[in-house]
Amino acid sequence: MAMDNFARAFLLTEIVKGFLLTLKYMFFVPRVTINYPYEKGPISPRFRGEHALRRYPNGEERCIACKLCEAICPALAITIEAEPRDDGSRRTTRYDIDMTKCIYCGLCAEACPVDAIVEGPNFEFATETREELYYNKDRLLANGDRWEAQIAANLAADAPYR
Amino acid sequence: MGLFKMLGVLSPTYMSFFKLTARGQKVGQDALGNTYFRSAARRGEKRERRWVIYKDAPEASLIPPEWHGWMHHQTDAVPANDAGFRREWQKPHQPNMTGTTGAYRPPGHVLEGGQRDKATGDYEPWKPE
Repeated sequence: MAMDNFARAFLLTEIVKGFLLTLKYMFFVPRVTINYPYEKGPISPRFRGEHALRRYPNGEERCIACKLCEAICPALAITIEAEPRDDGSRRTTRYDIDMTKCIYCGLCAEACPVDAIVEGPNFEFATETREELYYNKDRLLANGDRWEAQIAANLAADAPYR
Repeated sequence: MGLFKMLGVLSPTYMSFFKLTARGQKVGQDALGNTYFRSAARRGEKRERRWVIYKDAPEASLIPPEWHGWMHHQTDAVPANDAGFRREWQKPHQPNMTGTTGAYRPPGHVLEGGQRDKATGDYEPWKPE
């Protein structure tokens, strides 16, 4: 047994085994890594990323201040205040989402009766400071205006399953 | 550092070489000048390989929504070269502005004037005469 251990140590068998494993993963096993900013991983049309408030095709905001999203939000991240607008329609005067509280469960998007609040496909909205993540209504509407092309495509792709 | 930026992994030089070796075909270009490529699937993968060469610094959030879905393998439809159909209220894409002066901050922030909108929870404190 002593001779066996001595031979193994002398012939560096463990090191050879280790290098063989390295060699295998360098050349013979398919790679699983991607070059992130240049290549990107696949995501689903149901992906729950940054929130956005959508508009109707004529530019009217969809949200009717029913507060269902505020009620269902398990993290209490949504704050809504509403008043009748000058033309008599019920709209939000304040729609805040605290993105540091949000757990991205998607219940707000499911609760919304008019598809106003959605979780868009964008996940690259990390910030350097906390306060940049306290979204207000203007910011959410701007998100919707910027991402509408893909939000609409994703909702259309997922529509048969809803 | 400068040499590494020019020749290192993920540098423009590296990506151009990679474009040659992976036999990439150009798919299109977006409004910001980023160019998109595709090539056959790598060994052990089902999806074809898609990548982008950024016009300027490689910033992942520079990909506009039209190309975002294609880039993330949500759709195989290549966006049209023009901006496509857009409503008049749709806004042009903006990358993640954090760390710059253009970053979003809520209106109550000191850098935005410190004046937030009034809320229903506001009250007037009692002032003794």
